[in-house]
Amino acid sequence: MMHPEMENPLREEMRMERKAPPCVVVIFGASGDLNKRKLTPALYSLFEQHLLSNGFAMVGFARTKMEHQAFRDLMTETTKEFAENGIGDPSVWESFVQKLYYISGDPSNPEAYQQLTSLLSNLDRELGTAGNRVFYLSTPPELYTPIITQLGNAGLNRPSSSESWVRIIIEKPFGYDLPSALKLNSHVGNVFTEDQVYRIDHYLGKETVQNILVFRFSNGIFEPIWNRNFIDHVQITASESVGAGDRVGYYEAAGALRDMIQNHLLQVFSLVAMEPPVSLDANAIRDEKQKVMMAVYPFTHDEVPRFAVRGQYGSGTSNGKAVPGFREEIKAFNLKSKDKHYNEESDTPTYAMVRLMVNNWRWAGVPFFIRSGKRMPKRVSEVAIQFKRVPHLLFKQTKSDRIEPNTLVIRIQPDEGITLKFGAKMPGQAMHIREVNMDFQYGQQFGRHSPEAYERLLLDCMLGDPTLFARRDMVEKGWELLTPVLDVWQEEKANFPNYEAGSWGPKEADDFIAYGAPHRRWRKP
Amino acid sequence: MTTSETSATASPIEMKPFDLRTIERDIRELWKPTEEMVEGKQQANMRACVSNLLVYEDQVNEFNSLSDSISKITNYHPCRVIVMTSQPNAVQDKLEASVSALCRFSHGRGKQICSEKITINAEGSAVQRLSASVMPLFVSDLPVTLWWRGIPMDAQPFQGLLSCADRVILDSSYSVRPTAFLSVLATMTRERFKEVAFSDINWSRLTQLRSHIAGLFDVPDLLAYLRDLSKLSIEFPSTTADQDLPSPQAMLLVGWFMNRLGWGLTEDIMRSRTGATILKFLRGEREITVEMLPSAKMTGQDLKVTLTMADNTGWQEARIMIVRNYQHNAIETKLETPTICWLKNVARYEMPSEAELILNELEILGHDVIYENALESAGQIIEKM
Repeated sequence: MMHPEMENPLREEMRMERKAPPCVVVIFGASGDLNKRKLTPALYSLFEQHLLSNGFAMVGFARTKMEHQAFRDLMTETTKEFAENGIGDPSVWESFVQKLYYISGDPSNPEAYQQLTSLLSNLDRELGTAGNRVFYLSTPPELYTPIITQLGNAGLNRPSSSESWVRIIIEKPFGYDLPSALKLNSHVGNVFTEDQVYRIDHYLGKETVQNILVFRFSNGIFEPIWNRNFIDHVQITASESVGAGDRVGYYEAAGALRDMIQNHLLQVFSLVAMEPPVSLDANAIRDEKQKVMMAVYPFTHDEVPRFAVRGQYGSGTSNGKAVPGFREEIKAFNLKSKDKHYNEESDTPTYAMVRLMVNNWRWAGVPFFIRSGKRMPKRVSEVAIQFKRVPHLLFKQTKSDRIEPNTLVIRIQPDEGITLKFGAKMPGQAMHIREVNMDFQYGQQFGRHSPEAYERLLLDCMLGDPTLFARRDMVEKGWELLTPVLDVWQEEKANFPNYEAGSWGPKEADDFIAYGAPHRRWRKP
Repeated sequence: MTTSETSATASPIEMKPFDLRTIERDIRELWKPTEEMVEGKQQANMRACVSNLLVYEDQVNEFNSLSDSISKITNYHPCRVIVMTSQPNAVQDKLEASVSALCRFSHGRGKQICSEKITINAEGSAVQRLSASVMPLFVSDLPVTLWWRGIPMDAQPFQGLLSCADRVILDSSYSVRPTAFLSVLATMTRERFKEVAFSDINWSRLTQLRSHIAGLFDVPDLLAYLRDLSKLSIEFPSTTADQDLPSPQAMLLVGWFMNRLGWGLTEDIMRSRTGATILKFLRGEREITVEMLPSAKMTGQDLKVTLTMADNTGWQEARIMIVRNYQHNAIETKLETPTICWLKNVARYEMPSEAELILNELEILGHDVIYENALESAGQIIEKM
């Protein structure tokens, strides 16, 4: 925190957007896809919107040998290709690109970090970057440990003065399982303090995910009914219509549980289920998220069949076309690939569903069904709050009437918005009831552009706001909860494929949700 | 995104004698589903409304540009728009109204999102009845914003409409005597603080520039210089209005610096032969000179701000020049300091359209204290000029 006398008196302003303080963003893995497609375009977009300080610079770090200018040329080409609006005004891009620098080196080699230290000092002097640094690990996870070690050895993990700061952004996956997550976190913790660490989950940068907090805690009408007295169950869905395709290598190692549920969907779950925080302070919010994670019933290995279902798609139809099953995709990959071959009888789940029970006063007895799958009918992410049925139905129900309980749907993507489904009388003499939807769509009510998730998260990190980043304890708790599922699925042979590409998942999942509660069924969003 | 305007009956939009029941009926007609909708061949229109926007226009020939702006505004801010036009000097008394819907397709998904627009035309003495006539037309429980696109503020209907608005948006660039306008506005803002919030879209035009200037001082080395500011020079396009007195934007900018940096105004005010207004301020014992200079070379929204900072010895002098170049859509910054050596930076700048400026204003529901303080300071300067 800057001393009040050092605060900029011209900055305090409701009309002015939050603007990053001076800093250097160092991107490890700068020649990789994530930087080309997301990070540099996001930083440029912030620059175009005047949200970066004049004292800003970006340093790319990767093995590929390149001079500063070659890196600038490369970023020019890739930003033209990947940024939503290309580079726009060339003179603005020119101003931005002059702030890009590059260091080539082996991430394990201390010499490269000496070069980096020297460059950062020069940038502080010449551009006024004020000794502030963000280190962004956009590399394969196996390089996290050597980079963090070398940053520590070079003293780059500590701020150079009491007024400057150093932060590190770590991309998911935060480990492969609980032991590897603990090991990684422990290593990070040896070099950086937890308040320096920003574990990025781009899902949390999405506007609708942030809106869950606003929706819950700024509207007096929902919070009183946000509990076991009124809610029957909650469904959290993230489905994709695409298959593993060319990413079979990554997917074969990860699977649906690791790829989506352990990180993104548990974060969404915690926002839906958490208690009101005492303030909007990042740790107050993250404390509440962690508390609800602590309240989740920790099912044992023996209990896994009662809490989780897995699936893998076979061949089917997607977008009007016949598509192969996951195992056929692996076979096709193996035929093409010269070096890497994957198991053609793979038991990797492309669909995963877990039931979480939260043992606290608010949620006791309310199941949270969380599912994610590939090759489903469409790409959609949503949270559906299914309210209880009315205790006594006054109206006579005919065959044509459908009286369903109220559902509140928070759509994360696409068509971000909120829908409330309720029953209404059809006009006429008879008392016929129909379900109607009350819709709010972001794109319709606010025609304004929502920032890309990476823009939002990079800016938050530069501003020192970790609210939308995952904290160590929550990451570890997530792995801990899902470890029995991962273990059992690893040990027991699956009967795959068990759902057709283009369907909403395996029949086992339909049976599962209705077990003991026949009124429950999966939504078809 | 294009917006279409339709009447309740799909016939041309026609003005009818003002009658509340007719207006309400016409509004209901707007939302009746068509046969295609009933049969499911067409999606129903979605009515959306987040506020009441009253628009007053006293120049009938500006009506087309106003209609364009309103269409753009409702694209992003669905609301009930009540447009009032008046011809107080007309011989005949007339009060008439029409109702229409402003609809746009939502991102190509076939569903139309619609706002309501009520147009009221008052002529002759009916102008006096305008404010009382529009009040029953507000959508209840939603904020009322008055966008005053007129000049006189001292009589009906302005005073009447003021009493029913939560927020009033004006544009000081409309005024032929902008300094007097700002002075009146400063007084009104102070006196009616509890009832209504005022804003000036000329202030909104300065937002990007101010943000840019503020951003320069996020760099700690430069922030230290800000305390040593010794001269502020603002050049603005000269116009025939107000005998080259400073433009409203220049005045508001100086008011902003004065308020944010805690400058006290001295009695020392002079006009140079070049038409520059020169003011002296004090911050502690440090004297700050402010020069506001009309420039015949500048046009449109050009503005040049030069900040000169010198430490007590005068040795460590820094100069920052920020030019808002209207033609090139750019804010150019030149910086010369002994410690920081970047020289020139170009940032894209797009002068927001009138609709965009109004949309910015509609996002603010309460008081914009920074603006009100800057206006108050500008008012103090004007009083001494």
